[in-house]
Parts: sequence; C-alpha cells; structure tokens
Amino acid sequence: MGGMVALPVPRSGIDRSPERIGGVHTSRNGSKTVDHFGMKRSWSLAFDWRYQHELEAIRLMHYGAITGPYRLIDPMVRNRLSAEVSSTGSVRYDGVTIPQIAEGTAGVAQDWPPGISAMPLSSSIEWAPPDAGGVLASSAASAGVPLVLGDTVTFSAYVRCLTGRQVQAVIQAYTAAGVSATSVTGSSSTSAGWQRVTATLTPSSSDAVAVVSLTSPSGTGVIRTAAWQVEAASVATPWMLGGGCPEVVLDQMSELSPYFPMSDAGLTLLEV
Amino acid sequence: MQYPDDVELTQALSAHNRRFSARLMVDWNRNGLYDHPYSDLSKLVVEATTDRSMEGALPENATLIEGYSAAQLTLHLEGRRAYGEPNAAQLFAPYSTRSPLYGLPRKNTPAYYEIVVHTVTGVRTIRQFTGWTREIDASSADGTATLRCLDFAEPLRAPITLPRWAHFQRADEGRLINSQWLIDHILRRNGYHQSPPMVPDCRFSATLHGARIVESGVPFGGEDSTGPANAWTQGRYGLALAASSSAIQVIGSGSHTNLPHSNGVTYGFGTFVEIGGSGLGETTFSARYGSLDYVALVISAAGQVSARFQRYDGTTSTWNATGPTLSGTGWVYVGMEATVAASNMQVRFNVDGAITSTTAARWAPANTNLPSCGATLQRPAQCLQHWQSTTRTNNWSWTPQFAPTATLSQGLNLLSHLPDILDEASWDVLKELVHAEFGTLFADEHNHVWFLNREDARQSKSTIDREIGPDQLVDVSVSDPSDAIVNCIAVSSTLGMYKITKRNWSATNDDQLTFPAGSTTITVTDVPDSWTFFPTVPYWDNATWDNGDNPVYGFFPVHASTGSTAPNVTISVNQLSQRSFSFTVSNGNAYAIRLADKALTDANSPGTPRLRVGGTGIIYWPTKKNMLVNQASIDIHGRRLWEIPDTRWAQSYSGQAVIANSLLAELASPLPVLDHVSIVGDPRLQLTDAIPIRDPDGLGEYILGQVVGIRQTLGSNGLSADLTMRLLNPPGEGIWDSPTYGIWDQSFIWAT
Repeated sequence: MGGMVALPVPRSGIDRSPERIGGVHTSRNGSKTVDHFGMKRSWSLAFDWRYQHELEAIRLMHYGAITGPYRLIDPMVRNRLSAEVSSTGSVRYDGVTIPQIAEGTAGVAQDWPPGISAMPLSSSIEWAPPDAGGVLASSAASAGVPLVLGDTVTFSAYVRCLTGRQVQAVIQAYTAAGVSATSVTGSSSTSAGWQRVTATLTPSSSDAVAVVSLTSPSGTGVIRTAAWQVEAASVATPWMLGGGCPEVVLDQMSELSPYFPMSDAGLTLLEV
Repeated sequence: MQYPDDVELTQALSAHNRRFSARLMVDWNRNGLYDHPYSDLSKLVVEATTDRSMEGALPENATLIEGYSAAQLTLHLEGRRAYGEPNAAQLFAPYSTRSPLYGLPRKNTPAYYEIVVHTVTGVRTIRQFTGWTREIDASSADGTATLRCLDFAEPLRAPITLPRWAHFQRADEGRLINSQWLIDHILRRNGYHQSPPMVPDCRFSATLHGARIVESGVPFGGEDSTGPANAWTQGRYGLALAASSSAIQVIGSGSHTNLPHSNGVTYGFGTFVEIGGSGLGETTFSARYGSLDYVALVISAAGQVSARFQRYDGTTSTWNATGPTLSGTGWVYVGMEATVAASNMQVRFNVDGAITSTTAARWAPANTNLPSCGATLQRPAQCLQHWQSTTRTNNWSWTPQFAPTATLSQGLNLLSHLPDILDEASWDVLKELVHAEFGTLFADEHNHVWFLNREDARQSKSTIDREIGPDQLVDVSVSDPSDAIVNCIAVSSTLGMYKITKRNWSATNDDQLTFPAGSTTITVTDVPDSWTFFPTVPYWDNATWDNGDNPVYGFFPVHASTGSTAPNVTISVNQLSQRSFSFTVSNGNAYAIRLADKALTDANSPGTPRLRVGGTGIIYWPTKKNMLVNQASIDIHGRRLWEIPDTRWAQSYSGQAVIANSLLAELASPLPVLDHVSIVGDPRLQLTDAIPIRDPDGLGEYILGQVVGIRQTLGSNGLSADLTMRLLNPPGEGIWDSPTYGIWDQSFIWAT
C-alpha cells in the first residue's frame, strides 16, 4: 500500500456506471422483483495525445510489473470509505454481521441522524464495547484508506452515547510496510443525542494508509454510530455515501499512435 | 419452512427489492472448525443451485409424498478472493503444488452453503445445504471451477451387517419389529442419532426404538415368547417400550463379558423412563454373574431410584444405596454409576443431569461365571446402556448437551425378522426400507435426517408456511394423468420365524463327503438363515433317511470303496459366527469313509449325501398374497391394479395392509401434481412445506400444495425457485367471498 500515482487527465465523458449484480423476476401479473447480490463499478478511461512517459504507470500496472492490489481514488466521490462502511450497514453485500470490525458485540439498529443525508438511511451500528475499552474500526490495516502526501484527511462519524460513555474519533496511519505510524485522536462525545466527532490527519512522508476508528476507553453500555466519512479536507463536510477509493483491477488497455511519438490510450478499470 | 416467525425476514424476502449474498464454507482441515485459510470461498460463488427432490417407488405420475431425497448442491466458482490469491481453477487444480489446497483431500470434505438476507434489522443467515464435496471440475482456460456436493447420502456408505433376529416360532403380531428400529439402527451405524450414541466402554445398549434387540455384541437368540406383547409409545427420543401388564425382559448379548472385578472398576447404567403413575412394579437394570451376583440400577414403582448389590456365597446378601425419588410426569434420564473402592462402593445418581452421590458397602461377586446384562422393565423405558470402565467416571450415556441429528416417525412397516444382510451399503438398505413403506427420508439444510411415515408426511403440515401470491408466482403447470389411479393393491408377505431345531446345512458335493482315516476339519461359510449350530451331529441309521425331517440333522458313514457301513466315526461342530461353522470328522478306521448312502463307484451315480448339520435359525412361512380394493374408485375408473413389490421387507400382513390401505386412500382418486411451479426464490423453503398458491387468473384462486421438490438457484437471474408440489386439498372447499369457491350450492363444503 502507498505509492499513489496520479493518472494523466482522461478525456471527458467517462463511463463510470455502477452495475447491479443479480436478476429481475417478472411474475404472472407482471410484478417485478429485483434481487441484488452486489453493486460494482467500472471506469472506461481514454487518454488522448500522450507521450509514452505519461502512460508509463498505466503500462507497468497492465503488465503486472507493480505489485497490487490497486486502489483508485475517484475524485467524483468525496467519501473515501467503502459504501458499506460509510453507510454503517445500510448498504450491505458481503459478510454476515456488520461491515466494521468491532471489539465487543455489535449489530445494526434502525436509527439514522436526521437531516444529514438526502434521505434517511436504514441503519446505524449499535456497538457494545468491552467495559475495559474497545475499538470499532473501518477495516484491517491492509484495506485502509490510502494517503497522498499533502492531502490532509478528516474522519467524521455521528455518534450517540446512549449510556453516556465517552467515544472518540481516531485516525491511525500505517507505513507502506504495515507498521504503525502517526496517530491522531480527535474530538469526543458523551451525548445521548446524535453528535459528530472528527479527527484530522496531515500525513507525514512515511504515512501510507489510514485506518479510522471509534474508541471508547472505559465505561459501560452501548454506542450507536452512523454516517462515517473520510475525505481529503481539513474540516468535515456534509456526509455522502462512500466508494471514493475502491480496489480495482485493470481489464484492457488499448493504445493507438496517431502521430509519432504521441499515443491515444484507453484503459478499463473494474471494481473488484 | 425455516424461520417462519421472523417478521423482518419475511418483509425482506417479500419486498420487491431484495439483497442477498452467498456464504460457502469448506472444512479443508476436517476438524469441524472450518479454520483453513481457504475455508471461506464465498467470494468465488457465481452461481449456486440446490436441488432436493423425492425419488419414489410408486408408479410414475403417482407422485405422492414418498421416497428418499439426496440433495445436491452445484456451485459455479469464478475469480479470486483477493489480489494475489489463486483463481478458482488454480485453487482446485489437483496436481498443482502451487494450490494452497495441494495435498489435502478435495473430495468428501464437509461443506455448507448459506444465503445471507439483508433485512432492516441486520443480516439473516439461512442455511441451504450441509454436505460433502463430491466432484470438482476445474477449467484452466477461463479460470473457473464447478463444485458439486451431496448431502447425507454421501457418508451413508458404511457397510451394514444385520444380526440374525426373528421372533419366536409363532406369528405373534404383537412382537413384530417396528421399522423405526431398523432405520435408526442403520443411521446410528453411520453417525446419525435420534437418541444418545453408545458411550465409550459401553457393554450393553438397547435403544428400544421399536424392537427389543440389543445393538452391541451378538444379540441374544430369539425373544421371550411368554411375556407380554411389545407395545410402543413415544419416548423422549423416538419410540420407547411401553408399560405393559407385566414385566418385560430385555436381555443382553450372548457374548457379554464383565471386566475383572477390582478396585477402580465403575459399573454404569443409564436409561430414560417415564414417570407419573405408569410404573407397575420395580424396574431393574443389572449386570450379573449367573442370577445371584449382580449390581443393578433399581427404580421402584413409586419412583425411588437406588443402586442394588447382591452376593451369593451360600447365602444371599442384598443391600441398597438409596438415591433420589423421581417426581412429576414425563420422560426423565436416570443414571447410576457404582465405583469399587477399597472399603466401599462410591455410588452416583444422575436424574436429568442432576448428580448426587452416596456410598454403600463394598460389593464383590462370589462367582464369576455366566456374565450377562439385561433389564426387567415395569414402566415405559428406552435407551438402555450399561458401561464398565477402569478409567472413566461420570461417563453418562446422556448429557443435556446431546442434540439429536435425526428425527424418525414410527414406522408403518412391521417386520418379523431381520433379513440376511451382510456388508451391504447403508444408503441402499435405507432406500429399500423407505420404499417398502412409501415413507420419506431426507436430510434438511442442517444435515438433520428426517424419516416421515406416509401419514406423518401428509399430516406434518397442518399449518400453512407461506403463501405464493401473484407477485411471486412466475409460472405454474399441472399434471393430472389417469395412470396415477390405483384402486386394487396386491400385497405379499413372507413371515420369518425363529426355530429352535432346524437343519442349517446339508452336505452336497463330494469334497464334503469323503474323509480319510484320522481327523479332518472343514469350514463352511455363508450359511443362510442360521443362528447357532449344535455342537454334535448324531449317527442316524441309513434305513430311516428321507428327504424330509428324518433326520433333521445327523450323519451316516460308509466305507468309501466298498459301501459297507463304517463304524468308529464321530462328527463335532464348532460355531464360528452366526453364519459360519467348522466340522471335524474323526474317522477311527484305517480306510477312507464317505458320508453317503453308498460308495462312489460311478461318477454319474454318486448316491445321496448323508450329512446334515442342525442348529437354530430362521424358517420362512409360505408367502401370503392378499388384495385390497377401493370399490368406489373401481365403480368410476374400472379395476386398476398395482402390486407392491415383494421385497425382503414385505414380511407381515398386518404391516403391509396398513401401508396398502394408506396408499389406496390416496391413489384411488389421486390429486393432480403441480409439476412445475416457478416462483421468486425464498431461501426459507423446505421439503414438505405446505404452501397455498393464489393464481386467480390462471389455474385457480387458491391451490394448497405441499412441496415435494425444490430447485433453487442463486445466480445471474437473482434467487429463483422451481418447485414440484402435490395438492393437499381438493378444490371445492368453500372460501368466504370467493368468486370461485364461495358459491352457495352443493359444492360448498363446510370445514370441520
């Protein structure tokens, strides 16, 4: 992880349609039922009139010369967490419990902070940390949010401390080798109503990937949390559904040279 | 149906927008923990199809609810779980050392598959299949693999040998074996238990699930012909021997042995009994030497549990250690362990898991001859187990953690004897048994085995599981052929009975007839219908031999060359098993003898053999044929005959008549089969579910059917199901306000 490289600016009109995996049933009366097994995106990028060195990173990935997995930061999506983690279980396609990794017990609750999204989502996470303290994390270190040097990132999450136990936002950065690096503990809350807690990290040169989490060092009882967001900003902005840096694979690369030494290249990226 | 009461799950599945994921786990480490790094293959699943359908024995089209079902799971796997891992084909490539599964057995590995449904209150995991991998196809070109799994039919391949068993000489219908005992016996041999398995160090076990046959050791021959008839009642797990007017004996194996009596030996007893006023007298369960030295678990008529010790050394001494008193009603586990200590007996009692302890004076048998084990029951009981150990204490034959892995109906078929089954595949024998009474046998999604008799299969669903409305119904077609009508059923029955003196074997070829001077031993195997062999064969004068019972057993020797009667010959028999023996001919003459009525002077006229070995065994009564008819159906459709196949399981007429009448009731005017019901998938569906279909503009407003086949696919068309259903209620029952069935004329039938 780490070593994020900016791609050349692609041609406008990028097809980035999400594909619904599943099927449609048409019953005897014409009634439709849609089954979803997953939602995956693909990106068809075209690069016009480029020198070879500008396409070098793409070619290296396409030949497999760079060890993956590859992550794409899609600048159209502000929230760099996955849709599952950012929606705290409202969007789910995998797994059997909750998308976050919890110490203690956790399930979903039908509760969502009012007014923070275009429409209320279905579920928040109800988390009962161990009394001695626990962590509710976005992911394992290897699947965290990749950091770009110079991009300050802010983690925000809505929390309700139903029993008054304190909860705080944390960003833990790791190096490319997976060793713990910078750690930031942000704001905290003990409020029984919905409140937003945030933490902001300015990456150092050794910080490659960030794992965001909530911690509750002590106390008893349950905490609800919803609407997680990690964005390239120094303050938290309104919540949007995640999906800003998916893991992708390279499908096909095309290259046409209209005029030496320039190339028109095409690249299809598929969300895994 | 699984989870019928989960409201959120029902809402999620009947919504028009549904979210699912698949979960596939394979136990490559075979430790039950599913902890191999590649145990979770969920991400590779592209398409998963579960197929459950009944394979029956009735005429084609007469698809009543009967037969066995071996469920299959077919998985199409593609892609890789994560970057850098092998793809599906590489993973399953059998000869690739780069596969993380290299060296591990791929076939016959436990696996399960679940559908995860996303509801408003979180995910629900619904088990679809539990079984074993059976076949793996991997395609290198497109990196895909197809994995096929089979459910309980896959491990049910243990060879089964049944002990010889038949009822005592007379055809007393009250002593017939209920087929539940046999189905249970075979399932137990394959690790499926409706009641607790045998404990380690078990020396005696009788489940009493429909027969008084012990499951360990060689069964004691025959059955007490003078005691009361067997009656069966529902126990805590399956059938139990009911209380009767007098004591019933359950006697242990003929080969029972006791551990050498010494300090540290524990004698343990466990059983389930019914309490609540049904005890007629004292129930004892004992391990004995002869009849006078024993240790026993005793339950008095009033429910007092105690340990009893008896020693006979010229005078009889009996003493008890008193335990708890049973109270309340219903079935309860009662166990007793007595450990021999230096100065006393350490006694423990176990009543449904509550253990109490006490001591008693030290017991040592005065005699060590004639060990045996058995029980005298005067209250309903089941699952008798006796164990002896020098290393284990608190080795109870039941613990509260026991969870049955099988549920069995009382069988409709009644058996007079156990057929001669030697090393046959369990699954094949089970299929025959189920066919013989037209029951159903299947494993559910959790690998729990179900046997339902005809009546239970039909009546098991008095409640409706879910409804298929127009929004969920994609297509339905109905089949109503006249081939399905049967109004005359022919049944055959052949009783087998235990006989205490019979001819078990006769010499037939010359190898078994001519013996040189001295002693010669010959071994005979695979003797049919034998049980025990008498140790001697008597001399029987040639003049009185005939082709019948003169003699039942005996021999007659002649000089092999001259044909004159030979003196100085004796024959002894040594039993090797129920099916084999050896016999030794001691020829005290200087010449060879022949056991025939003459010398062998002409190969074309060898004479008649004169060697018959006697013993106990099974004899068969002539096959009885009967016809059962339904006259009302004959009046409409004419005679339509079907014969129940005359198999080795068609033994008693009373059993066959119950089965045939049950079949006639349905086949005389069979209901149509919905052979293709295509619906929006539902992972909760199970075999035998009762489901109404509402198709007002198609085949009918309200069709209540029972599921006899499910094929459910999760794939590119979403989750879809194809069902085969049999109608449960004939059209014509009145439904309020129904335009079709609400007509107030004679077609309106008032429900009772």
